[in-house]
Amino acid sequence: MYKAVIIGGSAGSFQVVTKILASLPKNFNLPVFLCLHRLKHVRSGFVEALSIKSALPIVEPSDKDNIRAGRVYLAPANYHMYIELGNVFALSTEESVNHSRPSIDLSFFSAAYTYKNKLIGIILSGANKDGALGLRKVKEAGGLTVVQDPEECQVKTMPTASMAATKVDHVYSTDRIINLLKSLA
Amino acid sequence: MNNANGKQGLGIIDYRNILGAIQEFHNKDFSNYSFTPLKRRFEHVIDLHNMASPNDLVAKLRDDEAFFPVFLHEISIPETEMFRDPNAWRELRDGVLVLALRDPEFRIWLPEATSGEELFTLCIILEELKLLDKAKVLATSMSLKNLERIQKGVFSAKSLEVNMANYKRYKGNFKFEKYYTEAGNEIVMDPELVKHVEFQAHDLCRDEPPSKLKLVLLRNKLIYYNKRLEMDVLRNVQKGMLPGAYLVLGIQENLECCNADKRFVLVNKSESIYKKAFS
Repeated sequence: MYKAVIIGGSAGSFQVVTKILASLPKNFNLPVFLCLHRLKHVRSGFVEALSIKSALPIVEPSDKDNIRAGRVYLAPANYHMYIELGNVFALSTEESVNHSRPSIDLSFFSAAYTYKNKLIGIILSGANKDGALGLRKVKEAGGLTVVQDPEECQVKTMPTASMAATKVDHVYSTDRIINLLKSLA
Repeated sequence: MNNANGKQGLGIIDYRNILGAIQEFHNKDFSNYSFTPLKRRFEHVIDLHNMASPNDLVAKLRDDEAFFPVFLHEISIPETEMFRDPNAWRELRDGVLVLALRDPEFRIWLPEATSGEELFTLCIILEELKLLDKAKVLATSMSLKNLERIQKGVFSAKSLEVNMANYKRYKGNFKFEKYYTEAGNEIVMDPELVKHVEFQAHDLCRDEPPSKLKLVLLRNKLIYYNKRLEMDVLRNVQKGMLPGAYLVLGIQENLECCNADKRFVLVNKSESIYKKAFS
């Protein structure tokens, strides 16, 4: 019944994301949006690093690209990434939010607006509160909300902030997040 | 605007009412802008003026004649950094701007300039190529207030660090310090840089383009339009360009959705530089 997965992460999330992507089967048939804090001026290398163990293709969308199932979309450096009605991306160079561009909150807001209760939102390890309000929006729109277990996080500020902002549905270890996603395929 | 304050965002009905008021009282059509960024811009204006509800914005658009120029300025999305994507500017310099050295009529257009980072970047490059008083640069915006702000050349000192780092990555000829003076929390760019620039009110979505253009710098502007408007705008822009003229988009923009008739030829994929076809 879910139509998309959106994942936000910052400090300490890279290995978790890599592990999740490595576990998703080739026939995973939802789009996966990744909004990860990254250096603004470094354009290349991130997709390549994430791709090494992923069975699914990973791309940084260009503005107005169509969203396709079974692909992983990484928010490009120095742009906010919106998921718009009509199954397309919109990129934006608006001001940073929570000192971040891309901002996890903004990506989550737009995905919640577009997918409503058909969205799974996941917040991983990270060192600021970006994503907390975004995850709350996912919850308010009826979507499923998950945070990585703070006990397992390298930096737990981000999941903790999300848990303070909304009553999240699941506090999961990386392995349980993976099981949840695999059960959707 | 800098914090996503988690307030209940603007609903679709409110959004449409605001679009309707702009159309009805000011004869401008924003209905083909990208939804999320424009919605956030309306929310930003409502916040700035401490309005209690979106209806207050509709009322102000209807009743307060002096407000609309302010509104156009406030919904403009500022440019981010000078020398944003340093590599793109370097390619632009080496592949395109050097052509102006041999061309007495090198006309460059920056449509919908909002806060000046792109213009000052261009002018610094022209200065270093010794082209500043030779190239013809035209900066336009639908908001006169945007142009006034740009002409003042005042930027937050907070932007310095990133601008200087970008300039270094671009590998400019000098030190960035050469181009500004500090005044408290602000920096003032050298006014000589934009002395020859022509500033003009112009609505990219509606007005005829300037003519005989050799280069159009349109980085990260089309992202705020939907596909249909993007297509209309490009068709229009293209009319002002000479055959072989260059069109530069933002690095995450491309013409895939609206270049079916091959009016533009891709010259540099990673930096999104195009050329108008000769036939």
